[in-house]
Amino acid sequence: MDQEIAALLGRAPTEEERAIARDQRARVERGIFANPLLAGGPQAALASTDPFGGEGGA
Amino acid sequence: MTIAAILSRLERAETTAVALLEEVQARVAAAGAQAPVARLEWDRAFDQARAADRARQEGAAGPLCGVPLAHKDMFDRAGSVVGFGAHPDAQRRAERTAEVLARLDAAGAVDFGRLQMSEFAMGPTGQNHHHGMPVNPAVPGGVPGGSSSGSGVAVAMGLVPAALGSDTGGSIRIPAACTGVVGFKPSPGLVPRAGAMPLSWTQDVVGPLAASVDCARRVLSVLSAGRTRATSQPPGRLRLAFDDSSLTEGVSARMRAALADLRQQLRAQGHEVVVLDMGWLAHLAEPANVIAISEAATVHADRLRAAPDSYGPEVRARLCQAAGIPAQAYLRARQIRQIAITRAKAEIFAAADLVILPGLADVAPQAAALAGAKGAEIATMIAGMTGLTRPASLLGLPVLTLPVAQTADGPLSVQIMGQRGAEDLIADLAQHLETARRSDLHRGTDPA
Repeated sequence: MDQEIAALLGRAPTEEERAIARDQRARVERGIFANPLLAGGPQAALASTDPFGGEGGA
Repeated sequence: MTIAAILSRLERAETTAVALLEEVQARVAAAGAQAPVARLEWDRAFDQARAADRARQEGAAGPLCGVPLAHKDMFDRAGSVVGFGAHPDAQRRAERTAEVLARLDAAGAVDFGRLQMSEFAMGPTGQNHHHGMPVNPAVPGGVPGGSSSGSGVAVAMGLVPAALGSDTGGSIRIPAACTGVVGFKPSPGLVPRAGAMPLSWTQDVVGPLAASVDCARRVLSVLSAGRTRATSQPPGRLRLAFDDSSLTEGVSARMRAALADLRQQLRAQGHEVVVLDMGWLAHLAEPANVIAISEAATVHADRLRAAPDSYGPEVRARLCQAAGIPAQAYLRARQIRQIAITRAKAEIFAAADLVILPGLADVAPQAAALAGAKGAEIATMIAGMTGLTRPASLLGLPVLTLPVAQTADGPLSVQIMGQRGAEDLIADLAQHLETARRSDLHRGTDPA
């Protein structure tokens, strides 16, 4: 994680900055990879969902 | 004063654009440090006012001819210094004029300057490490909301009838709700972003904060080059969805009461009120954040690496979040967005024409209660303020924030949202509700 933060900031991170990045990584696990909206869809449909398809909204 | 009232005075020759601008100049001077301004540009503004007066005399008045406006300090104007609410080292002189300002200029508006904002449009409270926090005139001790903090405050103070803001996760709607003014976040793509500071290409939109629905739609009509109506029509009988789920379970008792009053009022007007479980929208908050932070970190990559400590601690903390977001998470968030757009069409907009959600959980939070947030606590605080606004950003929905009740502690607002392109319908309903509420206030029967 230090390398990723250093790449962003151009310097070594502080302890607080490490904590922020770790907290966000945990949020990603819960809110993205374990997001119920992904779990609820057929895997085939999900795999074919173009992340950049259909620039329109609802 | 509203745009309609200003235009009426100008049309009846009771005043001139120059005289109106002199009035604004006097009000800004009287407000002193309370005026939420970043940079004033009176010389150019008086040139615009004189041109507006000439145009009116020649019968060539545009739809905003002579109306004084000011804008969030993130829009380019050739020759003007843009500050972005940032450290002074980030200021730069613009070489071109943002398309939105060019359209307002062509409509005859008089732009007298730049308004305060959260640093680089990141931050829902309105607190700015470099420039302080504008005072919320509607809620003593309350935050003004951000990131279009100065725009909301300038309208709430009566300095301008409307001001431009931008919205990525709630930055028009949150300050509008905090200060009790109208905020109109249009559909992505309706209003051009050329010459506006980018934050998140997926979710950024430009729109007005305004003294009334009529003011907001007049400005939006100019910004959209006439793709939205400036005038209202009866909204007809609508199906209006309210939420009954975990999404809104955290709202205050008085917000709950205001929503109940609103449902009753809408039914009495002949609308069909539909209650839906929209709890799944809460699962959009983190994808919206991941997309916004990933894109913002890309926008700021060079500057952040070269001068990380020129950023205030809250903004630097948010950009540091990008280190915890792998590329796959960004792409998954984009997939979730696509899935959610499809689901919203099938589950929400098949059952309802428009959706009504609270603008905030309650009145504007007290500044003192938020001041202590540091490090990872900032993410939690931000999630608390944006939980009700982020879903529409991710889904690309147009939303109008409308004050619906006044409590002893400040205004309560709702968000009226529709499908992409539903701006006219949203504004028609909002204007109808606003007119009815003003009649109730006049009769002393406002439910709040």
